[in-house]
Amino acid sequence: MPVANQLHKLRDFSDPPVVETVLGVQFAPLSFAIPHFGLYWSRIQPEFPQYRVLPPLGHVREQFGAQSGSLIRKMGFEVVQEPDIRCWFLDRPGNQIIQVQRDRFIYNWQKISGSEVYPRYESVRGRFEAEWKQFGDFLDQGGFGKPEVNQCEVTYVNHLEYEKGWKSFGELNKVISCWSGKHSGTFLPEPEKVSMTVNYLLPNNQGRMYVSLEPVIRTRDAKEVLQLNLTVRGAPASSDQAAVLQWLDVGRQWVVEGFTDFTTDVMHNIWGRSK
Amino acid sequence: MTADAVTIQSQPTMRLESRQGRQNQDYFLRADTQGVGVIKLPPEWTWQVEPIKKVLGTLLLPENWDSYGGRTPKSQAAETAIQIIASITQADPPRPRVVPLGTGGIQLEWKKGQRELEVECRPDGSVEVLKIEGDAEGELCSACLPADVVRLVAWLMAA
Repeated sequence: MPVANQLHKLRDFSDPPVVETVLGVQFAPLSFAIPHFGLYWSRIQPEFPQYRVLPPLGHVREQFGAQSGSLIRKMGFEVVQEPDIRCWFLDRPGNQIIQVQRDRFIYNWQKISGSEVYPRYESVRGRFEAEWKQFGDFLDQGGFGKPEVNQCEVTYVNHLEYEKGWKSFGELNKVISCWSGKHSGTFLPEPEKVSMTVNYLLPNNQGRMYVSLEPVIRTRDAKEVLQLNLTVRGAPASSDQAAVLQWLDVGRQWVVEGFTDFTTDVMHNIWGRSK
Repeated sequence: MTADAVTIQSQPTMRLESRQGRQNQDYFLRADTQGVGVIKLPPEWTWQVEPIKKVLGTLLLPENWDSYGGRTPKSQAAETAIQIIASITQADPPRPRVVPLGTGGIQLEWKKGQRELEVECRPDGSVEVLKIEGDAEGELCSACLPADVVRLVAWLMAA
């Protein structure tokens, strides 16, 4: 079945609380030096004229079976000839970010003002596909070869605002479907704050989904919100573009269906659930 | 679907001592793939939340917010101010007053008894502190580190 048709079968919301969608790949580290970041930037600079330099993300691999400790971060000593960095390349309004480091390529779409309309997965996926292909062309022409993709990642960041279906952590059961809010006795008061992480395994070791819930202050408007992140990570069948996109579609399906299962019908109504 | 692993933290009302390691944490550092800016609220934070919201609120001021050409505070100033607030581990310290400055900086002000601290977080993220006791002339400390400010808050609290 074509991807577009499969995607339309997922549950849908007219006003979802999503504030960011992240699609990314991790690959075997390239011999990517500081000047290469600039060379790549020169290709995308007309559309992504801003940059930020950040510390690199760790190299992570999901583990399954007997080794299952969920994920392994590469640790140890390494002789690094050049500083290891991660570059953000942002478009003019800042809604789109391309993150590059020597073993990662990530595309983000994020809300900046809060009033933007979420462009939907199909659009974000299309942009990722185009930018990843362009990055691949750059690597190919620069003699880096084809990146050996070992992990893909889909992350959706949702901000659940207070007074929109719930008022305090004592009413978290109105938001999270698996949280009863009840104790076995009467001693404890309602919780002052709650944060939680829940992991789910995808079938056939396709990956793992991390659901995290934590209170945060959003910097754009100094507002306290509950951040609900869903991240799915795993290895694609191969490094081919088609295999990467196929894995991302599975990851996105888990995020959408997982988000719907993890939250309550009351909240679904507020977010305009249509399927 | 059975959860692979579940971790739940529910914050008790008891205030916890802050961990040493958190003192040097960069609260604006993006340590994951997320782009949307947030300040995560550790369970031990209680009084810190409101002043941090006020610091972030100053970034929303328009240019010329004071009608005297005041500049919108810079994010570097806010980062430093938040770093300082988050580094204060004393139980129940006096709450800082958060004041935007026309220079694009942010000032944190504390007062207890005869002692006062005015901590100017400059637009470039550097810090200058004015330490005042009673009617004596204030003592200026330039290029202070956030850790120095934490020690000065301890001095203030001993008043």
